[in-house]
Amino acid sequence: MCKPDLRVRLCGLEWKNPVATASGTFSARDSGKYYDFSRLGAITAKGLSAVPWQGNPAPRVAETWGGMLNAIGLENPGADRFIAEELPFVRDCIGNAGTRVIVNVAGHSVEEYCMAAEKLDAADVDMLELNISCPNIREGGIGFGTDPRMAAAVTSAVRKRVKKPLIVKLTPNVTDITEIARAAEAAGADALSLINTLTGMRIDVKRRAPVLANGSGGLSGPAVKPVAVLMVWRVARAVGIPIIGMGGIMCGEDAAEFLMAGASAVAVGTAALANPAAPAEILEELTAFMAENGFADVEALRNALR
Amino acid sequence: MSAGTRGWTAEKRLVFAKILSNAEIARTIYRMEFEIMDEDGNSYPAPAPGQFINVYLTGGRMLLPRPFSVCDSAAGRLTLVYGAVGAGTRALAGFAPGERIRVGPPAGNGFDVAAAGTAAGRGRIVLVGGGVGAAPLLLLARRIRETLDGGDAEISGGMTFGGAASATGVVSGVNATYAPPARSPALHAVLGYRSEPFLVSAFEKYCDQTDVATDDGASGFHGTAVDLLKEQTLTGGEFFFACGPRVMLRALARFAGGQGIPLQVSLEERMGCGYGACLGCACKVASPAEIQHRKVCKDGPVFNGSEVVWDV
Ligand SMILES: Cc1cc2nc3c(=O)[nH]c(=O)nc-3n(C[C@H](O)[C@H](O)[C@H](O)COP(=O)(O)OP(=O)(O)OC[C@H]3O[C@@H](n4cnc5c(N)ncnc54)[C@H](O)[C@@H]3O)c2cc1C
Ligand SMILES: Cc1cc2nc3c(=O)[nH]c(=O)nc-3n(C[C@H](O)[C@H](O)[C@H](O)COP(=O)(O)O)c2cc1C
Ligand code: FES
Repeated sequence: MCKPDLRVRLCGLEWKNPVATASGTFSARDSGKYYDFSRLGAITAKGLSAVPWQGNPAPRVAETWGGMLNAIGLENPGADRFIAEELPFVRDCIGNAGTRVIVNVAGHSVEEYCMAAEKLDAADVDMLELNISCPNIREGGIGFGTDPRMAAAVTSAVRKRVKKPLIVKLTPNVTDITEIARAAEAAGADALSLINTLTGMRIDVKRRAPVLANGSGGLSGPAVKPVAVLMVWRVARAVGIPIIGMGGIMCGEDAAEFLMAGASAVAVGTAALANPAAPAEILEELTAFMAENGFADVEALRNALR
Repeated sequence: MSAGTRGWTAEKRLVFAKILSNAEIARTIYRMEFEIMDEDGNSYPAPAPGQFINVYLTGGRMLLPRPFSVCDSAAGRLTLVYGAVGAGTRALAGFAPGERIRVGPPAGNGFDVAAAGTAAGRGRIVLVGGGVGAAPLLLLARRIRETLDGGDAEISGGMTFGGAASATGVVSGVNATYAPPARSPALHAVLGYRSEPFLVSAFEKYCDQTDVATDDGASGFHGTAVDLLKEQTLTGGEFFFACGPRVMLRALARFAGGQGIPLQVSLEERMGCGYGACLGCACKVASPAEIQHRKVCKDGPVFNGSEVVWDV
């Protein structure tokens, strides 16, 4: 049984393994009590905006069959406070273990995205991830990520203002995700991550009201995995840039599924709510799966699909 | 196995617990006692009053942990009192002694017991529970009793317990079944239920006075716990600790605010992770800070009644 080489390269950066945390489901201070996140290939911070955002009123989460809905509303302390208070702690925990730090960037307008991205680009982070699922308030609240023109506009505007590798995170709530993926690639994205959550709703039939205060929310967890795998598989065949695959990864074999579909790395989100140490356990399971099935490295897994 | 550069050990982890007993103590209300298993029993932290634990059930329907207040605890054993209200709690009710469940460590910030003692001249601690909200108040009652009996200066310092500071009693005679207390006790529980009381004798063990109210008047005072509290003469020298439905807590917060009585409440909110990672459990607070949301699972579940924004 071989000991697999887990290293991957994304946008010129080496990750020591392909497992990351997904944005919004990781807190260095809290997740870090359950597992050593410096073992992961990368960690992703929650969505950060140029100024603090309040987020939505409660209830913000609702369980569903095989998943959950969330409508956190991107509550965050703003890029400045993250850089001053959170990032030094993250860096201290990682030390020289080599775990990459990705920051997820949110905005309500191209200008807001640029402002947040510039601040974060100047800080000690490795990669930026543009969450283009946010509504564009200048264009009647349509999600940036649902229109190829708007997706390209925000990507190229941010691309011009930052130096670090730029990942664009795609929403699955579109007719043809490859169209958005190509638009982001053409506008200068260095990598893509997918999928963000699928829009959904739950109604409490006894209260005759939506369960979430926001009405609708984003579906994540194992229920969305087949949708995510197909989208990664399609996008991998449509673009030349690397993909970070996510959506419902609960175990090592789920991670392998995304890599076989064509992703270069994976991220674990909801699983970490169901089990706080999930990202570390999934990394171990993936390593064991590769060893047991004779995959010498991640590239072998990526080329394995018949 | 650590690929990191530092020696690293998990400060927190999920552990298995063996169920010792699990019985219905009132209609659809269960009391479960379990013991943290094996080597984890020794390292499992002692829960503070007001802390909760996450119970990890399995199955496609139950991805997220269920939070429950610790009702009682001693030496690696914990007691929960829970209502069977949905899929998870009904599944929990079906567990038999000897079976295992997976639980997280005690979580959140519990009741600030010391605050009750440091507030100068407080004469009486009143625990106000609504339904299963009585659960965390029992561990609190036990700790306060231990402190009072042990003469612990932390909470008894500067307090005149059970003195003649007030002639507490019923103001109006609307409620015939309710007998007013003769004097102000040091530790007083006021417990409201829909119809069937539970845990009352457990509270009586620790409290100087335990009053019961029921919505339908089936036993004790006919009305809510807050109604019952309003029937009594208060000196303003009280300190309230409460847990129960949000409507009850809101009514109590208004009442306590009007009387100038300090109040700590334990809140419930829908949770994602239950350990601080997802921001699912927001509680809106009146705060000059930029973000007016606090995490129920980490900053709470206990908050000052006056800081909570109730009308959301
Ligand atoms: C800090 C805290 C302490 C609690 N302590 C107790 C206790 O001591 N005794 C007790 O009976 N109950 C307690 N609750 C409520 C308890 O968590 C819910 O009754 C339980 O989660 C319901 O699960 P279910 O699967 O039966 O219901 P379902 O409705 O099927 O649950 C679906 C989802 O909603 C969540 N949920 C449902 N009701 C609540 C609620 N009231 N509060 C928070 N989440 C909810 C569940 O966790 C689950 O994720 C507490 C809640 C919190 C936040
Ligand atoms: C509670 C919660 C918060 C999230 N917050 C963000 C966020 O701030 N930015 C973002 O791009 N995606 C966010 N996501 C989406 C996840 O990063 C991920 O794309 C999605 O949940 C699918 O993966 P999963 O099924 O493993 O969770 C969030 C998801 C959850 C469940
Ligand atoms: S439930 Fe996730 S932060 Fe509180």
